[in-house]
Amino acid sequence: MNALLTPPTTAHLRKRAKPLLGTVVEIAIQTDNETAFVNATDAAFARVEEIHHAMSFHERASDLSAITNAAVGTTLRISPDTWKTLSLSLEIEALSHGAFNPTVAPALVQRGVLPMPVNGEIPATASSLAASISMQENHKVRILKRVWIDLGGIAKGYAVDAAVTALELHNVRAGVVNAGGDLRVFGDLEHTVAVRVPSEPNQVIAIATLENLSCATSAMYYAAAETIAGSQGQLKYESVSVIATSCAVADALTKIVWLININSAEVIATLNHFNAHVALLDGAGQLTRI
Amino acid sequence: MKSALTWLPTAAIVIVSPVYAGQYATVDEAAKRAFPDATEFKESVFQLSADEVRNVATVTGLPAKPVLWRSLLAMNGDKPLGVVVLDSVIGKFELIDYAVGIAYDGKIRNVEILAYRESHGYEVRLPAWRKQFFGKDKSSRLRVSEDIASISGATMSATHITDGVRRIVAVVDQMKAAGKF
Repeated sequence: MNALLTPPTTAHLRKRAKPLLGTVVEIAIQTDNETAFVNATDAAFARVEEIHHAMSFHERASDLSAITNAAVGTTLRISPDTWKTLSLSLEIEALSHGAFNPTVAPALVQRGVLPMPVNGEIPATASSLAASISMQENHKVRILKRVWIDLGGIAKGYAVDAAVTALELHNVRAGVVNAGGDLRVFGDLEHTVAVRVPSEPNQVIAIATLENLSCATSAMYYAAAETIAGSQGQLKYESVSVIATSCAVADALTKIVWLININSAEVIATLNHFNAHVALLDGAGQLTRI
Repeated sequence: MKSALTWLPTAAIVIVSPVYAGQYATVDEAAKRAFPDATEFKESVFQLSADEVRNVATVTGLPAKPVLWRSLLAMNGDKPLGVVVLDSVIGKFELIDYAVGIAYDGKIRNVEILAYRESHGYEVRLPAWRKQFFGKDKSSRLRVSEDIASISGATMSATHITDGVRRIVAVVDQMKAAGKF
């Protein structure tokens, strides 16, 4: 390759970071001046904040709280962001034969990971998103069964995608958005991604270079095993990274690979469907890339 | 749009030394982003009395923090627009410097991370399996501090920043009540 055509690295980018989504969201972009930089990043951060409020399990005014408190048979209008995230969640739940399951919130409330909703009652939990809601036109959703939804496994990735869209609308040519480790590289930029060594999380290993792709990682650093949604049985990996075009997809797929064996038919079918790749670190520190 | 994934060859995979840092914004940049209308920023130190420190702890339910707070008063001519307060907190793995811009009416205008640095500095222990990742010499090591890479996976925890912002709001409230701002 002609060296002159090599896209710039992140060293040429201007960076900004804010505490959002319970983590630190970092935006690094190519920009000409401070005004353009602040305007574009302000818009992107505003989108992240908007999505946080719509999809928070904790906030009483969120779409998810409205769904939790809705009576069976009612139809609600929700934000386009929540509607799109629920639609994608349904698709991934179906492709993964239920391994991706955003209806595990009651179990998480019982374990004290999530707070008790307003009405203080834990429903006989719906087993799947598909059994609980049905998507309607005009950003509406119909409640089929009482359900508590936790989009913690996908919303952060969705927010990263939305931030990238906001930056592109501000004519930003290239950059990286990283929300607490769920990241997307866009535009004319090659960017190296590193993952933490789970047993020693202040050290990292560089695994791949990305161009117009996203990478999300689920790992056990200091968290207890049971906080991983619906954890079934033994942990096979210490760290799971998924690379896909959309960060929402990458985010959600890390949960599936985490929960089921990487070689299972439904995982392979789901990864193939999204043209996604995986990097795993197992308990012995072995790195596997697929 | 071209998208491309390139796995790094095993020989090029490196473990970063444990100390790294990121610089996002200067204090001046953070101040101007919070108060673009300001014509001047006056350096100032908020000093809390023992009673005021206790009040902040009571209002926020958080442990008391220092008595002195570095800040910048945002002025438009003679008119005070608000204040930018500087603070540092410990995150999951790192020390985070940040700035909070609060308007004269008490509303938060901007929370901006200024910089972070990993707070651990211990020697790299080297289990056998990890030797495979080490390059031949130090120069081949990737340095995140030079912005070559992003880390995927849990990074900074914002819990302490969120608490810190609440504390600063209470501090500014105390300062206003005391007529010091």
